[in-house]
Amino acid sequence: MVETPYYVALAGILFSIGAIGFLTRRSAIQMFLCVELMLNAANLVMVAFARAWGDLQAQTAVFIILTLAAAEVAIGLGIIVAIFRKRASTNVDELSSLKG
Amino acid sequence: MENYFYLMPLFPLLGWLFLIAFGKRLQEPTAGYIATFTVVISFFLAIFGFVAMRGATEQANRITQTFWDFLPYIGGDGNNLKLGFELNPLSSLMTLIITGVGALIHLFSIGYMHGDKGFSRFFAYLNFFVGMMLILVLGDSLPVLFIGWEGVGVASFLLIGFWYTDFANSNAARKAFVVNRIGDAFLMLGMFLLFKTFGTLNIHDILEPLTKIAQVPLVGEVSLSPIGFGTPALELACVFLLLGAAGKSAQLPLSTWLPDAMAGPTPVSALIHAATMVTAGVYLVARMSGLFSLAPSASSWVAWIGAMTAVYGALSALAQTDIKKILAFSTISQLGYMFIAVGSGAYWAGIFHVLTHAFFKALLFLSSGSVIHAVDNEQDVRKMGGLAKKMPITHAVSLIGVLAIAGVPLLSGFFSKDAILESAFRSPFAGGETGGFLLWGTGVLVAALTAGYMTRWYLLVFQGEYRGDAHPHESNSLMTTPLIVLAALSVLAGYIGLPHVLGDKANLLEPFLEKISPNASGFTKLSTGLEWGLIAVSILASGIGIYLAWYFYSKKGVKDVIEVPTTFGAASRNALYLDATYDYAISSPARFLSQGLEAMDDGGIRAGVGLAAEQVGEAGSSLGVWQSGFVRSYGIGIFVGTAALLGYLIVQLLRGAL
Repeated sequence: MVETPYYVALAGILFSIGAIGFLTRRSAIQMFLCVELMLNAANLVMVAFARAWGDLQAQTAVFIILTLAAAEVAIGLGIIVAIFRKRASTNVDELSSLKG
Repeated sequence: MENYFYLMPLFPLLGWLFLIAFGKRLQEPTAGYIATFTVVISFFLAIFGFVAMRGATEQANRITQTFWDFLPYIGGDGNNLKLGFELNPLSSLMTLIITGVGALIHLFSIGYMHGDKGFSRFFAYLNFFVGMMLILVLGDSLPVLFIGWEGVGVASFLLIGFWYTDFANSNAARKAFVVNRIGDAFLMLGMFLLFKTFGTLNIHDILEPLTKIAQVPLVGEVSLSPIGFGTPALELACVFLLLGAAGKSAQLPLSTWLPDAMAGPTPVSALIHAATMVTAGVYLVARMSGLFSLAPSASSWVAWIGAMTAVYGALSALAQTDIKKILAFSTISQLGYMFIAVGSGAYWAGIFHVLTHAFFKALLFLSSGSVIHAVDNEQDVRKMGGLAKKMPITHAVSLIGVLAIAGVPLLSGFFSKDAILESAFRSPFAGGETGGFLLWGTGVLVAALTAGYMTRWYLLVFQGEYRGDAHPHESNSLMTTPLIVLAALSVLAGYIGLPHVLGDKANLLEPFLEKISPNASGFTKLSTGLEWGLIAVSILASGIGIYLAWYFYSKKGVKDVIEVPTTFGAASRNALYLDATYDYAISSPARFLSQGLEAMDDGGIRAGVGLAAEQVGEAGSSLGVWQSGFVRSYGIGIFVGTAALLGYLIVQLLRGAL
């Protein structure tokens, strides 16, 4: 059986990839994928500790996060598609018309 | 059949709904025929109602129909303010006038409005008006009457401003609406006071207890204890009702809207601003006759306001140059005549004049419509003349109308005018014999003036040489048929109210209306000789008026008309400067006040508020810098913030604080 620290380490790597990708990418879709990556890193940590401590609470939390992520994908992709139709680009640096 | 009288307003209102919904899809004449048809159905119902009312007695003089509780529980016994209709001799006669003249004018309009792009809209409004007017006269309580009262006001507004693209027309519409609101406010005050004293607004319930005390002498502060109110409340309520009536019926001091209302299409002037709506004030006083006949002071106010308005209207009509404005001032003057009658306590005479006036004034307006139609929308009488040869039918019917309104014997106007003059002479409310004589004298003066300005109208339009440059032609039969019918009625309508000197049975109208609006008590009796004398004087007055007009405008030629008018002529042409006076006394100060308020608003309030808003706005902008619009910078913010929070927690953990 794989020890818990490995899971946590994997999650840490996934989260770092996600965070760095989120901060460096300009394409909205890639940033979106990175957000998903971070979410799943968090899920992985929770599941790992749930197994280590034999507590199901964290697993239920993961289910909630999964459904939430699904909903978020639906809405987020919709927004991105709408932006793309309007501007023919998903470069987030160009989307600053509401800045203060 | 007469029990279905309450359906009368339904048909025109259905027509209105239909025309508003589908008007744009209808071919031109269809909309007109539909509208006319609905009014004709109502006319037949009105005939059934009238026939039933012929057989009414003093006790059984009304048919009522209650629909539902309208504001229930407001009255003490929960029995008040029901929405219902009542048919009685008075309202039945009014429905006949409204639907009869209304149908004829609808028919005329099909020809008159030919080619107008608002054709169906016009008929929709016209149908709406007829429906509302029927609600007004059939309402069994003052609130229901008020619904109709306001409804016809709206219809009047919409139709005066019918050609709304012209700014002058929409201004005229607004003026009519605003001036009417002043009167309506007083009518509402009157209703409040009546409700306070009687506990009900059902007209029959108000008047019923009054009939029992009709013999109680009303002197000073006598309290009419049986129903618990004093004379002052009654007088005041009547004055409020009078002011309300003055607004709708264009009496002084609220008369200024009616001449401007001529901006609407001519059939509208004929139907609304001559034959029906403007007589609503007279109807109101006659309907509340039980109240007014117990209020001598208020009644004499009615009579004298009527007398002053009659003189005012007649003087203003003398030198007008617009073919319709002459008739408009004439209408004001004739409405004053009706107020003299109802103020004198002879309610039947007022309604008699409403009836005859509806015929001959509608006839005159429609004739002028026919003339305007023929001379390419020219309304200036200085550019008319000589139309008798070119428009023989219009000329003939106009002549009948002019003779009828001028009070030439054996035509309808003569009989109704004579009934009013005689009632004024022996009225219990005029203030003794001198007062009666003065009221009568004013009436005779107005009769002479009326004959004068109507003869002038006739001569300038139809006689002499044509002074315009259009090519006048007779109107088509769609327009002339209603004219001929109205002309016949203008001749014959007088014979239902022959003077008393011809015998007690000669007058058919008075006993009919007495069942619901009995004359006030205390009319003095006149000897037969004196009565013939009064008739002779009024004939003489008409003769003098006609002769003078003929002398000035026909014998001497029409040059005077085009000349610069004299001081008096200018005063008459400007309607005795009443509009200017109002502008000077009310509008200018109001305008000055609002300009001052606007300056205060601009300088004080708006500047203060603006400053405050600016400060807040600046504070907001300085924070707005953070909203850079770069998603990644927000991301960094989130990460840095989270890292800081986590770092703090870790430090706390290491120090053993958690």
